[in-house]
Amino acid sequence: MNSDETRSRPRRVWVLAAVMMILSTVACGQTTLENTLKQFSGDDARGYIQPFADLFGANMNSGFYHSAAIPNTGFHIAFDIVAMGSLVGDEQKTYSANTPAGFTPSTFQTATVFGGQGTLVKNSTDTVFQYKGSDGIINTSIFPAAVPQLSIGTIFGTKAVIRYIKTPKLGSDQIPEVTLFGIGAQHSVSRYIPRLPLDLSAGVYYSSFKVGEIMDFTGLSIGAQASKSFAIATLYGGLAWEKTSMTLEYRTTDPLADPQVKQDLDGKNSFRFTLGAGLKFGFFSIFADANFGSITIFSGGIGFGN
Amino acid sequence: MNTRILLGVLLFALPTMGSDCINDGFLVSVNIEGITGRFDIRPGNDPTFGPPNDCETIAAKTYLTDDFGEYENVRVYDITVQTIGTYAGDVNGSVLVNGRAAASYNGPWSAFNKPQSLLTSGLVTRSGTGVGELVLSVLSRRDITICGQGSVTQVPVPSGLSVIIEVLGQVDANP
Repeated sequence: MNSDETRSRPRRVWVLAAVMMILSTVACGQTTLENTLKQFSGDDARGYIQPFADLFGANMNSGFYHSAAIPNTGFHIAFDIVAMGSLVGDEQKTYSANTPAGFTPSTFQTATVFGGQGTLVKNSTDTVFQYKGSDGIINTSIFPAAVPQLSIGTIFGTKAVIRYIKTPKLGSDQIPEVTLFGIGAQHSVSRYIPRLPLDLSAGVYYSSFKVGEIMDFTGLSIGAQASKSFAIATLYGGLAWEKTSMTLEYRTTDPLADPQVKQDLDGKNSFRFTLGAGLKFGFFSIFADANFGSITIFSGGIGFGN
Repeated sequence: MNTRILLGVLLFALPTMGSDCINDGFLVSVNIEGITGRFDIRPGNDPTFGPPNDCETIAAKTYLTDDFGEYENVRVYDITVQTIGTYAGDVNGSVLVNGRAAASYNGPWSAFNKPQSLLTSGLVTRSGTGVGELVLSVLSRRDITICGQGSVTQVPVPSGLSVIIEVLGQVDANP
């Protein structure tokens, strides 16, 4: 083995790791999801997919920071792999769907994308006529995601955070093209308030995640963070306001509906409280946190850098 | 600490954090498009219409396109009847699916200018075994012949009159 191969292997391993982790989420049925969504008219698609927007959006705004300590100046760089998972509750597994016009009952409870079997409903005035909701696709108690993340700084107590990965369409429609982009800035507040017993910072983060031709996520998070370090350990937390939205655009195959469907869905989570802890061993770190709001999210990961 | 071990742990953990990922054998309810027949009523002094002239055969490949793939279970959730053209009399008759009555209709021609749903309209009622025949036909990917059979009440029948019958159904597809 020559020295070039030795040097390039770790880089290849991490690129492969990042791609695999992104795809592990994508492979959880997103092309299948696209094909499924095309069967829905607009209103029903909203109910079926809303929990996906809620949980995915909550994931996207997770894991941006694991400390509030930001030096005033100096070159600092860190590469993290951040994994996150939102808890899938019972309320995310069913929704109230519409039956066709004239059908009795006019609405029925059936599976969302995270649910089980779709509900079969019979028209009460003539049970020969029946209608059924689609089955759920994703069977999980935690909806996972993972992202590679680069932090770089600092200038005037500010560091930038960047997330980016793009994968081409793979296989025969098995895995669509995926583009993840995130950017943010975290600024030290402690530099203005000397002799504080802990570190304080403020951050703003923007994310976008585009999967295939029909789904497009964006997320924005603005928050304040605090942390306290004890030797190799750091306790951290924060409060954040956030907004996520998902746009669905596709042509439905439902013959009774307007063929062009465009839906803008807002994620449920708008505020979160974060508590976490990290350990740092030289250039290596490990961290994990819990996020509480309308959606409960756990995130954690490993990092390399100073 | 060996970074590859950590990487392995993370990669292993992701799909096992309570996630089975895809539901086995999940089914998508897909609306069937195109089980529709349009029958022109011949002008003149004959007020009746029906087979063999007033039929339309819908090939299986036109209502079950390649997008459907494998599927199971077929449901019918509505039948609609619509008239085209201006006419002062009434219309009555039956919808036949592969020769079996599925629905009957009776009322003023003008009332049917707006599609009348079997679910909501008192002018259309289900009859016979045609719905069951349609379900069996779709399940076995057979061509479907829809016929309009009936009569109008006033002669001479003007030109430009048509009856449109549409059957709305679903299949459970395995995408």
